[in-house]
Formats: sequence, structure tokens, C-alpha cells
Amino acid sequence: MMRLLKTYGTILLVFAGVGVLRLALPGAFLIHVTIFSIYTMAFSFLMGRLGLVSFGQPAYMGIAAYGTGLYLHYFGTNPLLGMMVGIIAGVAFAGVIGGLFVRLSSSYFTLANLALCAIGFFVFQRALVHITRGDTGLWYLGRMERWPLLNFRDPDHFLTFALIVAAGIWIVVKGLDRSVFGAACLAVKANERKLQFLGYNTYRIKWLGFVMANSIAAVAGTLYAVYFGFVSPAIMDVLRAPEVVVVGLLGGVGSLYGPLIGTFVYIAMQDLVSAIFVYWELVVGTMLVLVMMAGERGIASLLESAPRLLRMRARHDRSSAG
Amino acid sequence: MSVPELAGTVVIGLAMSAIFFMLSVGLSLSYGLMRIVSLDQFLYYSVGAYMTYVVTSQAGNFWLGLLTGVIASCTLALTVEKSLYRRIYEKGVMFSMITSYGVLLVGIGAIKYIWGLVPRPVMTPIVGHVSLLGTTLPVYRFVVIGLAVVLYIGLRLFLERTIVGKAIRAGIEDVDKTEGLGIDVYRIFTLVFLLTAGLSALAGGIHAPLIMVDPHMGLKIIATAFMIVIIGGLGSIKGTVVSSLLIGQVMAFGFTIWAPAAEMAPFVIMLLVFLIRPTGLYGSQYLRR
Amino acid sequence: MMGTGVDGAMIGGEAILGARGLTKRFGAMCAANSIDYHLGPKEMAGIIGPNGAGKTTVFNLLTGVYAPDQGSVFFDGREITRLSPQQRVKLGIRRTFQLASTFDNLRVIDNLRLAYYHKQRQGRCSLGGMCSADLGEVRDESIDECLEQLELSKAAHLPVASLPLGSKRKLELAMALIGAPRVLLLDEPFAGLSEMEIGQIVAMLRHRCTRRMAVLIIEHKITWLKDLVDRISVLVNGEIIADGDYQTVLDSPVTRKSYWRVE
Ligand SMILES: Nc1ncnc2c1ncn2[C@@H]1O[C@H](COP(=O)(O)OP(=O)(O)OP(=O)(O)O)[C@@H](O)[C@H]1O
Ligand SMILES: [Mg+2]
Repeated sequence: MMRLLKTYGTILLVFAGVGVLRLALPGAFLIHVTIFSIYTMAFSFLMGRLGLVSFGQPAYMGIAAYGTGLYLHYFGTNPLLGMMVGIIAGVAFAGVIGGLFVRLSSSYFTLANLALCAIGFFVFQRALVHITRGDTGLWYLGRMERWPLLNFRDPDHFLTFALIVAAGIWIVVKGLDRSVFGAACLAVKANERKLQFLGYNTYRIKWLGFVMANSIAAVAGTLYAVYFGFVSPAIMDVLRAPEVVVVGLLGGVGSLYGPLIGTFVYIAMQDLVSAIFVYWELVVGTMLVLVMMAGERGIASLLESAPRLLRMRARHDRSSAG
Repeated sequence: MSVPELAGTVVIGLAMSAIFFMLSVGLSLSYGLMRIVSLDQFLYYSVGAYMTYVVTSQAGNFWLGLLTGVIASCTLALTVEKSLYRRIYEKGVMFSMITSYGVLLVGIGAIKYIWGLVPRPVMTPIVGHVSLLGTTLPVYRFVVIGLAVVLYIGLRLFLERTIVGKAIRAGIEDVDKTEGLGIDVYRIFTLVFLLTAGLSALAGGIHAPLIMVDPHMGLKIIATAFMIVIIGGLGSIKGTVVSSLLIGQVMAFGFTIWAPAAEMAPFVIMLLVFLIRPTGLYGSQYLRR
Repeated sequence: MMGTGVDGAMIGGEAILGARGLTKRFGAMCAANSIDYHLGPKEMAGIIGPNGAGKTTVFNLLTGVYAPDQGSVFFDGREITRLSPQQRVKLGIRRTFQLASTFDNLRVIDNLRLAYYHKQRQGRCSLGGMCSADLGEVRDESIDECLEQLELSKAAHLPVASLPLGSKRKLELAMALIGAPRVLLLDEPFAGLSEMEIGQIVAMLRHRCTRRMAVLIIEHKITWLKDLVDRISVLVNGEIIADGDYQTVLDSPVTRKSYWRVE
């Protein structure tokens, strides 16, 4: 018990810290940060741990959001059940698509995901328009059940709920990072051929990693779905696909807190400069180029290496002085 | 389906194939040679279309507009290549993909800023119609098809008959070989990049009268273009031709049957190809990296 | 004297790994041309040949990276031509790569743990098991022993990316050995190393492999193989042109002509 607390305590502290920020910051902002950081974690898991870069992440998030949305719009009123439906839809979808996609080499994988996202958008916007009601979207905010302890329409309730979910996801990811599976994922990223020659079935490792990552994206999707009480094809827009890439890279892929830091900075910036965000493509695009040119290391890794750099600088100063 | 209908659909499909071919052959070439996936090509596609729109509406000459588009796009591409790609070539496919997506987004933002969100129409330069097998079809579509055929033949001749072309083909097999020939690889990279950009711009300009010109036009075609490249196999010109023809026809027939099917068919075909050959129809399993 | 069978002289009995008529073409170029080769169960053998001779291609065919255009591969008396690399690893065929292949984003010890974990779980390496197994809990004497012997103990907790090439090659060898292979294929294990490091690897091979498993070593410089291997084959243009012990091969006129290009 003590050992578990020692391993995972930091995560609880960090997310409790985000909760405490509520004293100073608006709830909507923190909720957005929490959900988007879960979404970014999915991307970061794929890229940082498995070395798979997907330009189609909105698809996996969107499928789950629609799972929840369709359930709550047409069938039930229980938001938790709706979330379950969404997550199951997302996981099943990722399982099937993953079986096909993880066999591809990296360039094909990225492009195939881009295509998937474009098609997904099209399917929900037009092909299934009689069910999804196209761009009008599905509305069910008023239909969702409310409980005294958990009322999704109360921002504070929702924030608490989202933070607990996020902390849970971070704990799972950290646990995986420490497991043999986590090492195998990193090994796939570094040298898949070599891992095969240690006898591992890398196809299955990649498949499971892919499904896990996109289950995380699915959780983000269902959270958005119950938070807004509304879902429309915009959630799967190809135009929004690069956003998570930017945020992921900004925070630093593969690091545990990178997704949280990146999201925080990005959304804060988005809110602050919302005036020029009419042309948000300009901003996101420029950031993407700059982050890549800066060496794709991200804020988190800069923070991690800062103490070491300072120490090196100090040692250097001492030796040059002596 | 009657004969006239059939003929009409085939021609529409071929015109689509022509545009897809122009747009994707360069992508495939530059992947083969430089190991980059250059998503900024879709910016040059849009720029080509917008310049055509501007010149056609101001000066009234479509072909001049096309030329302007190609020149403008190549200039832009040269700038991007010199300032960004020089640092990207060494870093691998992922890097180029993400960075060029950034460039594409910046470009889309700029286009929105300059021309706004409203889609713009471009006049068809040739308004005549011809009758064929009992149906009348716009001449312009035949011009588009003819242009693609000419481009394809020109490209083949360039790659097979000229020294630079041979160097490019050698480079696709193994970049070190080009270095062995004593040719500056980076000059060739620049050349292929500009060639790709020029073709993309041409595709944009040619496509403009058939669709509306709007800021997101590059993103709308991105998925189809890449599905074609993927189905054909990255790095294979032959594959690109075959899959352009295939997808053009499938989409044309799809539209006449059930419109949503047309959009989804390429995707389904891509998935099917993946089941059999994860490297596309003509993609080499041995392409290194 | 194409690919001598060496039937009588096979060290330790019947061949454990064999190739018959193995052919692989890349386009018009024939990287392996109808190769016959046999390796005894406890034999240590070498393959030499100039650049581009097809040595690595032969390894790739034996380990299942490529399917041959013609010919077959045998292991322990059964045909394995159609088995995947992974299935061949299960049989006990392990290899190292010409470009030192390690997991640069993991620590040295974690590289070895991954290698050991699979060996320990032979056959039941389920995904669930991998998720619930703590990497830090994967411990074994053989890991420490390997670290010690190759003088990597101090670097055990460093990321591999920070290691020099020599240490990477040693690590890769250790990863292969931890799997307790029956056949070990080494692709230029000495390339780019200092004399001292080569000495360490040779000592390790002598200590751990001689008379215990079959080893096949690709090497450019024949001198390193002199005291190590029982038999050397010369591969030129995808064909084995000479085969025998060190001195025989060295003196063979065919070798002198097409390998050293002396008359
Ligand atoms: N995947 C491949 N695709 C195309 N040609 C290949 C491939 N692999 C090897 N070759 C070619 O096959 C020939 C033999 O290559 P191989 O790597 O087996 O040589 P090698 O004897 O290992 O040479 P080296 O000493 O340089 O390692 C070379 O000409 C090489 O270019
Ligand atoms: Mg070799």
C-alpha cells in the first residue's frame, strides 16, 4: 500500500493541484484542459511509446463521442451508461482498425489515419445524416440524469469527475510504463526488427498499444460528449487533427506530464490570444513548425533537463575558474 | 445503365483521374527520392487554384492564370525548400510530415486572411461540348484528360531519356548511387520538389473550374490524394497511375449510384489493399527506411 | 568445390542448420546464388567475403527476414523455409545485426531484461502477462553475469544511447546469449571495435559458446577468425567459392584469385 502510494502519489497530487487551481481559474478552462490532456495523452502514448504518429486522432475520439451521443439521444438517460457505450464503441473500433493499421510502416500508418479521419467525418456528417442529423448534431443535455452527488451540469462536479478519471488514466499509463509491456513498446519504437529477433510478437504488442492509446482517446471523447451534452461532426474535423499533434509535441511526447503541461500552455494561450485565433491556423501552423525546428523535445523534457543543464553549467564555471 | 450514361461516367472518371494523377505523382516521386511526405503540396495546389481565380477574374485569361499559379507556387515552394526542407531531409519521414502540415496550416490561414472564407467560382476556359456515344460532354474534361496524358508521357521521357531523370531514378533505388554519379543530391532534391509543387499547382488550377475555390480545398482533397498514393504504393509512378485510374472510375460510378459511396469507396479499397499488401499495389517491400 | 557438405567432419554430429540451393535475387542482381551450407551443432564457423558479396543476405535468409526465391533452409533435420523469424527464434536461432541493434531508448539492463523475460516465459509470453509483470522485478543471475563478463556492470543503468559502439555490440551479444540459443549468427561483431573490445568479445565467445552451441560469424578481416573458428567459407558474388579450415582457405587458389585478386 505504502509502495503504491509512493509510486502513484505524485499523480494524485498533481491532479489534486489542478483541482485547487479552481480557486483562481474558471471551471470551464480547467475542464477543457483536463479533457484535452487526456486526449493528448492518447497521442503521446502512440507517438512517444510506440513510435506511431497518427494524424487521425479525432476519429477515435469522435467515434466514442458519437457512441455516447447516440445512446443518450435515442435510448437512455444515464450519462454513466452513455459513457460506457461510448468507450466500448471506441475500443471496439480501435481494435478492428488497429488490426489492419499497425501492420503498416510508419508513413503509411500516418496517412491511413488521416484518411480514416476524413472518412469518419464524412460518414457522420453526410452518409448517416438521418441518424446523426448532420451538422445540426445531437442534443441531449436536458435528457441526462442528475444525481445529488454527481451532476454533470454543475462545472465543479464535472471537474472533479474528470480529474478523477484523468488521474486514473495517468496511473494506468505509469503502471504500464514500468511493466515489461511498457519496455516492449519503447523497444518497438527504437527497433522493431530487433524485438522480433528476441522472439516477441511485435504485431500484437503494437496492436495492444494502439488499442490502449485509442481507448484513452475514447475516454476523452465521451467526456466531451457528456460535458457539452451535444455532439456534432465538428469533433472529427480533419482540420482539428493537427491540434493534438501540436499540443503533444509542445508538452513533449512520451513523458508522463508532458500532455498535461502542453495542454495547459496551449489552451491558456488560445484563450489569451483568442482575438487573433480567428486565423488560428496561422498560429497552430507556426507553432508546429517552430516546435519541430526547436528539436521536438517539448516543454516537459526541457523542464526535466533544466536542472542537469544548470548543474553542468555550474561545474563548467567551477572548472574554468579553477 | 445506358450506353450514353456509361460513356459520360467514364469520361468524368477519367478527368478526375487526371487531376488525381497530377496531384499524387509528385508526392510519390518525392517520397521515393527524398523520403519525405510533403503535405505542403496541398498548399501549392490551393495557391495554384487561387492565382488562377485571380487572374481569370481580373485579366480574363484562364491559361495565363494557370501559368501564374504555377510560377507563384514554385517560388513559394523554393522558399520553403531552402528554408525548411534542407534541415528536414536527414530527419526522416515523420519529421517532414509534421513540419509540412505546419506549413500547410500557415498557408491556409494566410489564404483565409487574404481571400476570406467564401468559395469563389472560376470560369471554364472552354465552354464547348462534344457529342459522344449519344451524350454531350464538355470539351474541357477532354482537355484535362489530354493534359494529364501529355504530362505523363513527358515525365516518362524526362525520367528515362535525360541524365537528370536517370539520376532521379537511380536515387529512388538508392540515394548513394546518385552521389556515386558525381551529382549534387540536394540540387536534384530541389528540382524534384519544385516539379512536385508545379504539378500540384497545375492540378489546382485545372481543378478550379470544376469545383469552387475555397481555403479548405487543399484539405478536402488531401485524403483522396494520399489514399491514391498509398494504394499505388509510395514511391511508385506506375502504381500512382494505376490507382488514379482506379479511384477516378470508382468515384465516378459511385456518384451515379449513391453519392456517399463515392467518397467512401477509395477508403474501402485502401483497406482491402492493406489486407493483401501493406505496402500498396506497387510499393516495394525493400525500400529502405 | 561449391559449398562442401563437410559431411564427415561435422563437429558434434548431424548439421543443426543447413541451406540447400538457397537463392535470392534483388531485381536483376543475384545476392545469393544456389547456396549449400551446413553448420554442425557445436561448430564455430566463419563466413568471409568482400562488400556486397551477399553475406548479410544469407543471414537474412537463414533467419527468415526474406523468403528465398529458391531453395530451402533446415534446422535440426526439419525444414523451416516457411517459418517466420519469430518461430525460428523459438527454435533457438538467434542473431546480431551488422548495424549494432539495441534499444537505444532503454537502459542497458532493461535491454537484457527484455531478452531474458522472453526466454523465461518461453512459449507463454502473453500480452496480459507482459502488462502485469513489473520490469524491475525481472531479475536473474545470467543478466548480472553477462554484465560482469562484458564489463558493462557500471553502465547497467545508463541509457544505451549514451554508450559507445563497442559497448553496444557487447550488449547485443549479451542479449543474444541470454536467450540460450542453439545457433548463434553474428554479423560482423568486430566491426568498428578496438583491439581490446574485440579481445573481450572473443573471450566471451570462447567461454560461453565453444562446444556448447553452433556459431556462425560473418567477418571482413579473416585474421580475427584465425584462432576462433573451426571452419571458414568464402562468399563472393552470392556463391560460396571456398570452404575449409583457415589454412586451406587461405592457400586455396580460388580464394586468392577472386577474393584477394592475386594470381
Ligand atoms: N533489401 C535489399 N534490396 C535490394 N538490394 C539489396 C537488399 N539487401 C541487399 N541488397 C543487395 O544485395 C547485395 C548483397 O548485399 P549484402 O548486404 O548481403 O552484402 P554483404 O556481403 O553483407 O556486404 P557488406 O560486407 O557490405 O555487409 C548488395 O549488392 C546489396 O546492394
Ligand atoms: Mg553485410
